[in-house]
Amino acid sequence: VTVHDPEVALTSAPVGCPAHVPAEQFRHFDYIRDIEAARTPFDGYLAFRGEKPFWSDVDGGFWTLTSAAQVRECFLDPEAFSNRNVGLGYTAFPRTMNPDQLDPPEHTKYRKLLLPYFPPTAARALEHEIRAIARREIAAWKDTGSVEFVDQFAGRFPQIVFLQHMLHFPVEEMETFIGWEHDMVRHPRDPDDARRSMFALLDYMTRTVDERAAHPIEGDMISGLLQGTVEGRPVTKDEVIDMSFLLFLAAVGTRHLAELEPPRAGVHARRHDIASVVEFRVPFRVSRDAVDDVERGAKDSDWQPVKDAAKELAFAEDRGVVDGFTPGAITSFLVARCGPSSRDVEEPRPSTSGATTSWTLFTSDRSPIQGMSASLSPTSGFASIMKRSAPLEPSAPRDAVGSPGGMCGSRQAARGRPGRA
Amino acid sequence: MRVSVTDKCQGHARCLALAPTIFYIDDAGYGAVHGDGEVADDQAELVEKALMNCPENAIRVRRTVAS
Repeated sequence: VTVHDPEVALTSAPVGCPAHVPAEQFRHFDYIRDIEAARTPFDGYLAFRGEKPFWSDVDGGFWTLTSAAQVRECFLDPEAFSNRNVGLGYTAFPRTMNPDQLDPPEHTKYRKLLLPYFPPTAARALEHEIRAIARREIAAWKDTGSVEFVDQFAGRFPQIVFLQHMLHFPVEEMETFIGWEHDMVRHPRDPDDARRSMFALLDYMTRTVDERAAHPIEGDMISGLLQGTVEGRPVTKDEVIDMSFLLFLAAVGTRHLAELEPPRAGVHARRHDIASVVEFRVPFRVSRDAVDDVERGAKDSDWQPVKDAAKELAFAEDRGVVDGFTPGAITSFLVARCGPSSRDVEEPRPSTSGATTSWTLFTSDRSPIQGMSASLSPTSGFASIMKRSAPLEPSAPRDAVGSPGGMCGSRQAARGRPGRA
Repeated sequence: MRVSVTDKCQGHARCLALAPTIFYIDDAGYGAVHGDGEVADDQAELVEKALMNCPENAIRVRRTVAS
C-alpha cells in the first residue's frame, strides 16, 4: 500500500475484493507482517475488537474472526471449519501438528495418547525435579540484584522442565533448544530465523525418535508414544515426530504475555515493552551578527543554516518513518500501514495501539519547526506523518539566540510528550 | 443447579483454570465437579464461563427448579 493520503485510502473501492465479500468486510490485512509490526500480537488483534469478521486477500485469501463467540461457533463446528493446516505464510509447518491440526474424531484418538503424561499425578511425581530446576535457574541471577523475570525465568522455566523431564533432551544442549523455540515463537519474528530453527528442530526430533525407537528410555514420553496404539495399530514414527514437535512449541507461552507474578497479593504487575528512543542531530552554525539581528528586530536575518538543518532532520525523520530505520528499531510506516490501523489515522481512539499515540504527537508537530524542538513519536505503528501539511519554514529559534552554534535535534521515542531537546 | 463433565472431556483444564472452586482435574487428567455436582445459583457466572470456554463442549448444566 503506497497511498499517502488516508482520505483517499478510506474512500477508494477495495482492489481485489471478491464478489462474495461485502466491501466493508474487506481488508488488506497481512496476519504476519501487520501483527508483528504491532507492539505485541495482542495489540495487533485488539484493533479488530467489535468489528465484523473480515476477509483479506493476502496469502490467497482468508477470513479473520473478531469475537470469542464466532471463534467458539467455528471450533464447535468441525464439519464446516477444519483444524487442518492451510499453510499461510512462513508459519506453515510442512507437517501436521498432531493433534492440534486434526479434526474430530481423529483429534481425540491422539489426544488420548498424550493425556497420561499430563494429569496432576504426573506433575506431582516430578515435583522434586521441577523444584531443582527452579532453584538452578534462580541461582543464575539471584545475586545480581535484579532480574528481567520473563526473559530470565518465566520464558525458560516451563521449557526446561518439559525438555528435560518429558522429552529427555540433553541438559547440556538446552540453550540451543531454547534458541530454536525463541526463533519460532518470539515476537516479532525473523522469518528466516524461524524457518531455519523449525527445520533444525524437525531434524533433531526425527533423529531422536529413531534413537528412542531403538533404545527406549524408561518413563520417557517419546519412547512411550512409540509403543502406543491408535485404532489397534502401532503409532508410527512420523506421528510421534509430529506430536513431539507440537509439544515442544506448546511448552512455551508467548513471551509478550507480560502479566508478571505479582510482588504481593492484590498487586498487579505487568512488564511494558518500551520502544527505543532514537535521536537525530544535525549540527549548524549561525553567525553572531545574525543572532543579534533578531534581537534588534530584523525580519530578514540570515538563518539559512538552521533552515537547512531543520530540513535535513525532517527528511531523515520522514525517511525513517516511511522506510524504517533499522539501527534505531523504527518500523517502516509502509509495513505498519498495510494493516488495520488506517482508520486510526483519521479517528484516534484512546487505548488502542501506537498509531493513535503517533497521531496525537505528530499533530503537535504540524506547527512550523521551532529550532531546537523535538518531536516524540512511537517507533512502531506509525500512521500519520504524511498528514503534516505545514511548510518546513523555521521561525526564529529562540533557544538558539545568544549561541553562535547549536544542534537541531529531533527525537523518535516510544512514550512521552513533545518537548525541548 | 446440577453441573457435570461428560466423557467428551479431553482434559484441557479450562474449567479448572476459570472456576477452581467448582471444578477439579481427576488423577487421570479429566475434569470433574467437586462434591455431588450441586452448585449454588450465585455461582452461575463462573459455571457459564467454564461452559463457554470448554473446547470439547463437555460441561452439562441442569437447572434445578425450586419447588
